[in-house]
Amino acid sequence: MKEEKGAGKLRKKGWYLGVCLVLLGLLAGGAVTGIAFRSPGHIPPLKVTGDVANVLTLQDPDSLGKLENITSQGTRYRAAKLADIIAEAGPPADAGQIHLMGLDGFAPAIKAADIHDCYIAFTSKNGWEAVNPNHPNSSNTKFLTEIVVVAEGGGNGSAFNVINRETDLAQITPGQLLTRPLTLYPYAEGKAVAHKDGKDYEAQVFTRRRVFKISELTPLVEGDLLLVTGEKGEHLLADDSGYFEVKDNYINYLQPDTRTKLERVKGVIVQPPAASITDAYYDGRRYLESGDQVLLVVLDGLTYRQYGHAVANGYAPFLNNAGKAAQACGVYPSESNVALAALLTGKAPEENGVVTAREHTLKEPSIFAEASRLNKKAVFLDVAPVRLNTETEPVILNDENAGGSADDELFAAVLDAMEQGYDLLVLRFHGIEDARERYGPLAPETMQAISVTDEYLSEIVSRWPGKVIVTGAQGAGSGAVSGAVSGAQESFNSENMFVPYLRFG
Amino acid sequence: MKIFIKKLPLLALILFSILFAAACSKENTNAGVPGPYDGEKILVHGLQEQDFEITLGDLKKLPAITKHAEAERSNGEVVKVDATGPLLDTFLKQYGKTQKDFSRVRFTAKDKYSIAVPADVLAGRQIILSYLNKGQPLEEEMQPVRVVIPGERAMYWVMNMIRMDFETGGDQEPPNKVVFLETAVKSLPRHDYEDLDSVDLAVKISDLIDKYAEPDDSGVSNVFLKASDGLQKNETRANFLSAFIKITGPEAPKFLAPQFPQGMHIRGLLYAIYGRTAIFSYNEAIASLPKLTEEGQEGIAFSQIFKQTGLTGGSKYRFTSADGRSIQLTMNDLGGGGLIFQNEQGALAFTCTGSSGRINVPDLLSVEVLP
Repeated sequence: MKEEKGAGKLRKKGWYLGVCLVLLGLLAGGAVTGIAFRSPGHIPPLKVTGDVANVLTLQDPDSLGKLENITSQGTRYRAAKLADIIAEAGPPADAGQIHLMGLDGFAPAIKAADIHDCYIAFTSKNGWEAVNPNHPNSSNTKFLTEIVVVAEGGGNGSAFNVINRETDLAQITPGQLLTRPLTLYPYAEGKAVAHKDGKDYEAQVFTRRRVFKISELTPLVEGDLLLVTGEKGEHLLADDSGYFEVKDNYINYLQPDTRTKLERVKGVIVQPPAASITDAYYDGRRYLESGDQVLLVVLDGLTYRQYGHAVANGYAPFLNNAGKAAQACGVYPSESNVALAALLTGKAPEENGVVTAREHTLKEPSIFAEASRLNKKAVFLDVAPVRLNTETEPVILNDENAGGSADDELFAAVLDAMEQGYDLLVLRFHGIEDARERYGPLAPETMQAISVTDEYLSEIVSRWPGKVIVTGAQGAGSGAVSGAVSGAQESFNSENMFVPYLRFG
Repeated sequence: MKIFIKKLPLLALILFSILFAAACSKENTNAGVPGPYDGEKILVHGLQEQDFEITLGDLKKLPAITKHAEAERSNGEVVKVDATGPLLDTFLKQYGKTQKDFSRVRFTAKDKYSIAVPADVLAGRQIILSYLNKGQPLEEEMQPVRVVIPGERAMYWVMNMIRMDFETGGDQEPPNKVVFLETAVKSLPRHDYEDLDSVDLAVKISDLIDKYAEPDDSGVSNVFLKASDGLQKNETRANFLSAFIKITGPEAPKFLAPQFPQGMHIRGLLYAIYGRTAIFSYNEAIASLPKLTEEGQEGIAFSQIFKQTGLTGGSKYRFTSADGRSIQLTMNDLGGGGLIFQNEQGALAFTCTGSSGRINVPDLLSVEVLP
């Protein structure tokens, strides 16, 4: 019995000891493993750029995903499939070429469709290395620094666009730009100063940027102005003295002299019209300050080209007789509420807070705030499906008679409202946009919708005693559904970026 | 040895627990929690008339944000932080300022490393005065504050930060000359300008600058403009010189150009600073700034010109009339400061009473600071 107790005690001790040794073993093993598999010194970064949704920076061969043992030209590699890496970066549907850029400037291109047997490996001898057993040996870039995915077309809407009032001048993607000759510009970042032993030691820091000028894409006349527009609608007026930087998978505008910078540029309008959709705010404010009553009519979906077509073909007799509309810059992204927010506040989308269909609240005071400041009576009658919150609660009209549009209900409501002595009356018609989306911008059905709206306007304006502002507003575009900026990217073109703008009364 | 073996399981368990706890410790957001470095001081220069000090404890009382940020080093290495602290804008809000009000902010570390954050970064980036990283206090060598600017290179991320210098005017020195718009335009060609449904008179800014600004303006890249309603804006030199100032009609004086959208126009222009020359509108000043009345004459105090435009330095001032005659006045001559006013003929004038008695400058065109 005593022996059994002793044996039990010993077993218990042994169990403790065992647990203890296992734990220590785990710790020691972990430490040894850590030392043994420590990163083998510095591994240079390998970037996947160009027309991809996600820029990848690879600095750990083990993070490439599934590694395979392959043999190419008698050499064994642990390598990842290039196709897997590209897939992780999110290539465009129209990916055409993959450029494998080496440290020494060597840069073969292979077809994106032919990369199923292509690999990327890291070796101590050649750094990052392309291993393409089925391709010519010249495709096997050593000391690979960048893999550039190049779209054949617009690259899923990532393209950079250059337009003027009449036409689209150039469209090019970041990937396509990265494979063209670019200037390496030393951009001054700043000066750092370290103070040691009573002396200042300075370092002027530069970063080398890959840049181009608009004049390299399309001919410019000296003195041409450029309206540079970012993907959130921010914009600036510049000349050709600035540079456009190709940064991984997007474009930035840089003006080194003034240190002006605009990130993620969507496009450029060469010699833009001075009129802008945002003029509605400034004109409206001025009229109110002068004591005039103001009728501001917003025609969703009406672009300048449509207006011109409608007027020329007799679809808009009232607008035709009201005087020639100015060709005004719209805003980017093309989305009904984005345009409305810009024209009501006089500010670009990024400033006013409404950049996509998802945002409904203004960050900047609108014309309604001005009306309130001036003790003016204001109302906003709206039929658009997506609402915008303004300082004045909008009166929403619905398609009560199921006629396919609430514009007729809006028309009736306007006639009522005009009896109530408003100083500021803002209307948003939506029938043109509905037709445009359904039938196309110049379709007879869309022209008919313009004609119907023109008749409403004729009647409304004939009864209005004050000033009148009529402006088109770019339509919802494909971004309205998703609410994503990227959804409307294809809309930066000469068809969508200009709207008619009229003032009379 | 026997005792050691006896205690070994216990020691191993303690060691394992410590390591396990360390490995599994969760981020905790200690924003605002007091710490040993809370008394560390940070000198603030250029924000108020006098330098002043704040402490890390003061910063901890401000609303903090936590933001993940990554910055690339030249070797490709990426520095990653989850920075917690108040935004520089939050700090500045206490003083009625924003980052955009400054052309540069220089951050200096305890070891005297410093870097100036330029205007484009100030205008477009959030700057976090961080005191926590991943929910934990900063390492000692980074205390009391590490500046983190998401989206910018690590060279701007000054750790161990003990001084902030707020600068206006970029590399340019503050103005040393003020030209009064109302007098200046009398000798410039005037142009009909159609604006706001009326035809008014305007002068070309290039004419104004050619005649009254420093001849060597090659260093001017940006022009600062301020309206009487508080709007402030920087415009490029090229855009500024291509524009007009409308001097009659609604909203005058108004900065505008036919090629600019209305959003770029500035109504009620109070002043524009071009290099070291400020173009100043008396009419807009008298309508929007505090008025001063001396001996029944209403105008604006000479000190308002300094306050508004940042005119600084000097012990003497040259007052010049439209006909080119000028007078140099010392601080003693200025006495109480002086008054700028519009006389009965509608011309600008200056008057002061100092050690040399009463001095009047008729048809005031400009004031220059002399060394």
